[in-house]
Amino acid sequence: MNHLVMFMVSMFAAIIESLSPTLHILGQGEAPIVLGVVIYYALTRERHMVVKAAITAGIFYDALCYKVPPGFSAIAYVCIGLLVNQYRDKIFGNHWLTHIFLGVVSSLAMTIMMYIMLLSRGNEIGIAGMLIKSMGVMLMSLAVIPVVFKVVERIDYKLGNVELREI
Amino acid sequence: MPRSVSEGTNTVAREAVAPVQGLVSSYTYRLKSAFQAIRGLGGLPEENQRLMEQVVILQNQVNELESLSVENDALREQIGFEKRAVYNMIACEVIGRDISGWWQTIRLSKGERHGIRLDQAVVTAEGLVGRVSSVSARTCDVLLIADPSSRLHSEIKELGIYGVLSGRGPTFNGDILCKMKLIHKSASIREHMPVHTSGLGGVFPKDVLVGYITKIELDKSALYQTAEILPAADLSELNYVFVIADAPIGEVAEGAQ
Repeated sequence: MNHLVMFMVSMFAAIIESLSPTLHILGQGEAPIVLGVVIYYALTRERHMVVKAAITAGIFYDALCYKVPPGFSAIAYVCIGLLVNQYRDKIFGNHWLTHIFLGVVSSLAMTIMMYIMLLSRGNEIGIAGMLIKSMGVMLMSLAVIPVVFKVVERIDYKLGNVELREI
Repeated sequence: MPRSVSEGTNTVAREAVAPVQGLVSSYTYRLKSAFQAIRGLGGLPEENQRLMEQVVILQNQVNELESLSVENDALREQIGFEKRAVYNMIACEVIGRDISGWWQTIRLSKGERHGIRLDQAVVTAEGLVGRVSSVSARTCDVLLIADPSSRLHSEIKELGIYGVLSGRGPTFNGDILCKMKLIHKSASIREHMPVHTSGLGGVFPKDVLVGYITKIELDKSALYQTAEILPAADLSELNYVFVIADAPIGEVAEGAQ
């Protein structure tokens, strides 16, 4: 059940992220819903499950991406997931502020990684565009990550994957 | 991981997600339409009246065009010209946009199985949208004309002037714009002039409306003018589009229409 929920949550997160509106003033920064799912698993599960969740989320993300080499997002999500998993008890403990902080830092890291990858493949993207987009994604993650965390937590609880107090 | 494995996984995931994505997208569209309908309830009688008037005007135009078409065919035949080809359109639903936000692309609900091929032009009733940039069995991605990596040869028909049109992406105030470059400095172009595809370059058919000139400025080199173009099709609100297929009418793959 744990794996099925992870699979479905990752898929729907990617679909909703691809359909969610973006604001031009925020450099078309997307709402980092998939990243929120990865962070949720990194904060609540063991390492092997984090890797599985990150790979699944990455595969779905790449499938809905244009011009991103398949596998890139999976690697990026695994790195972010493992780092968060490693330091999860050393930041603020289990608090919504933790989710926001991790979401902002991770979304910035993800945007920069994607920018470097696209540049290395010969795409012309200005640094100003990247900076505006980074700001946009960070602002979006402030609002989105805690909501994603709560929703996935509820789904996990309703389906009996975890006890609510454990989280 | 070998490239073939990662690409295979990507294709499988893309095909698996497409039906669910289409379903979610269609429900989102319906929900949005319902909200818009509720919001616009007060103005329905006026809207109805306006649409009825428009139907009458359009019907008259169709009648006029039909007689002109017959006359045109007869004249073409007399001077030995071939009859103009009629494009075969494949109607597609827009099921998503590029998730990363780095590109101006959309994903459509039809692919190779429905007769869609790489580099086919995509239009709406209003004008040009873009070209097919990648295809899988059941889906395809369209690079919008507003993407900075998009290039197309275009023409200001009123003056017979050509230029290269590229995307500018969205501006801070939300307008999605394009730029038409390499217009000779002596060309007397004006704002609001329509821009069409030139048919040169082999991707886009000739005479498809691209957009309208909104701003004109002299190039840095002072040899050319650059015009800012507002696309005729609303690229931020695409729900249904048409792919212009290669095959003549009657030869499109099964399920295309």
